[in-house]
Amino acid sequence: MQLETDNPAVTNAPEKFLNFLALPKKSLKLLYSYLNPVDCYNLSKCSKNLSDQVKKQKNLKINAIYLRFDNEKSCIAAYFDKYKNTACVFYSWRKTDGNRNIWTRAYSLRNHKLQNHLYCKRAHPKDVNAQQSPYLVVNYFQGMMEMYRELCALFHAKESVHYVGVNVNDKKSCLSFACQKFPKPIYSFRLIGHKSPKTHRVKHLLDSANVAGTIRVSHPIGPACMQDKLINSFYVVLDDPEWITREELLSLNCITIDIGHNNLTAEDLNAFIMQWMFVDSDQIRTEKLEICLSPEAFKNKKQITNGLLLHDWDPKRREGEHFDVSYYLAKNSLRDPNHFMDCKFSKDVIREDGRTATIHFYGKKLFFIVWKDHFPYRTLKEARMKQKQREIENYINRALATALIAIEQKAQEEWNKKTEWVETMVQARKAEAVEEQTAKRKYFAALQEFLDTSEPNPKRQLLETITIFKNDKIP
Amino acid sequence: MSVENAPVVDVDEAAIPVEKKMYYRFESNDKKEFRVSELAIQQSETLNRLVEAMGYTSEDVENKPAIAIENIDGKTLKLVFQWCEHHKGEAIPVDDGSVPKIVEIPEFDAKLMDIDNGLLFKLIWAADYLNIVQLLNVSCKKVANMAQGKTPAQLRRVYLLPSDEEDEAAKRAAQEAQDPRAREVEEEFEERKRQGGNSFF
Repeated sequence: MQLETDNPAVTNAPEKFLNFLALPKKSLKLLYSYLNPVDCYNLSKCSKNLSDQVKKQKNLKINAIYLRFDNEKSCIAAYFDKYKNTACVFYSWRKTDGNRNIWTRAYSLRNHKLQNHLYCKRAHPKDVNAQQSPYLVVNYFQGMMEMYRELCALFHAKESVHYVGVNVNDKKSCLSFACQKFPKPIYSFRLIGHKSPKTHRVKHLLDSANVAGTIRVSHPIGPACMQDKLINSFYVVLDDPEWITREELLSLNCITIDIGHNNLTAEDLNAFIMQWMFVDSDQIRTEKLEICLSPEAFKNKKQITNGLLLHDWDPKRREGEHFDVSYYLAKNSLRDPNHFMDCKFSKDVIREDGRTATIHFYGKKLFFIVWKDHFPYRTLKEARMKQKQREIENYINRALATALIAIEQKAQEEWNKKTEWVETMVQARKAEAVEEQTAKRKYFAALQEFLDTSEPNPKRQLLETITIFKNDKIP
Repeated sequence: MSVENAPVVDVDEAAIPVEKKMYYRFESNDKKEFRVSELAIQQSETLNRLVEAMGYTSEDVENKPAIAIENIDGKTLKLVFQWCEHHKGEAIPVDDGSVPKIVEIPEFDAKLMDIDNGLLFKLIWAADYLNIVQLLNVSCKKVANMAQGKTPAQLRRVYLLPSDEEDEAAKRAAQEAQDPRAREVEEEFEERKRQGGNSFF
């Protein structure tokens, strides 16, 4: 190292600045480990070379991407695999003069808090507000999607989960989202807004979204959200739907329903359970209802189970705890309080076709759980056994394949050796034969020469002798 | 036997051999000399190995000339040795490859690194050369902190980063400097093109 003499960057570095690219390799690598993803993104925007360097040095995977389609509040947030509690927020918009503005920030925030900030709060950072000119027509969505593509190009985003929120009160936002034809399936789709929107707009929005998980509705949106797609979706979360009526509750045919504060009465909830009990069983898909009890329903808890034959927990009929087996198979932890429910002291209702459901009160909440799998622990154990068996099989198969490859390789080597030996032998014999032939040819050539040059020509003499013997006269 | 009944032995303190601390002498490239304790040197892997290889006794240290460190100037070396003396005896951190790394900058280090960026840059180079892991950690952390909340334009100013155009110009200049014939060939090619020739050859 020639710190003082060889490195021009050192001698020329102005004292105010720090020459980042002239730092030693080891410290540059260390430096990248201290830079958070937002800083890395900003660094990559400095030049193409730096973008390549960031890609090389900062090999990060995006776990979750959050998009908010909300005109001037449109933004992206992301969580990265190694920065689990660092929420990275990106605002980007392009002005009509072509200039692009970017505002980025990293916050230490948990996932659910970020979602609250991003989708529930109407205000957005003051800095962003100050930078956005109210007099210029700006395309915020283009800027946001540009940012989305850049992030996907800079970091690994193939397996990331997408959360999308659209402001249904803003026509531009809805149109923009519908036009984008979002490239990936949306894990959680949120309808956000501050007042009830037009019904056809919500319908159009829901139809254009490729939702693979949850649809979540903010409370001011109201009954306009009750569209076919939402009613028949997989998982619905209605945030504090004070507007919800008995008919709307009964119309919901989702697998999981989560309802916040509402004004439903105990009779309404009773009607829901009755519907599950006595209406054609093939039509109802519901497996879990989680609902906050209104003050009226809470007072008259007993009315909720009115007219139903309630059974105590029977360990032979079902397990004492309810959880989703697939969730635990995917993760590895067993006791996640959000996915685990103690149902030992709750009451069961049994349908004519034998299906069992549990009515479980927990605080001010009612859980109505249909037992798709009566013994989840057993299923989990079996599934884990199968998984283990599969792993063992895979291991044996892999070992066998490796052994076969090794045997094949050895046989091939032996075969190659033999072939080589045979080839060498053949070549040696050929060479010998060629040598012999050449020697013979040389001998005959020499003999020919001798016969042609010697006087008297012995060949001629020989010919003459033969002729004498034949005709008894010399020609 | 109880502790109270144990016989008291008078110890002559002067008779106990006191291990003398050894101070090595180092010289920077601008001929400034520094005396650094043996324990402080252990923070630097490079210096520690060098000293071990030399096998100096305390007499050698005094009689022989100071060990020259030719790549580092006195100002930077002073900071390095100040840091080493303050952190002497501390365990050297092992890189476990975890990301993000959690490193706190102690108050002393923050004060020590409250210097202009040119000197900080030299300090990083020195820490890298002398292989002082913890100093490299804190100095890099300090540089990383400089990027926090900065826009790309601000980063360009702080880190002296070239734009795409500047990169390209530098690349072209480097190419030309490397091969002066290339420019001549290019000019010749352009001229032939102007003359209407289809191909160069």
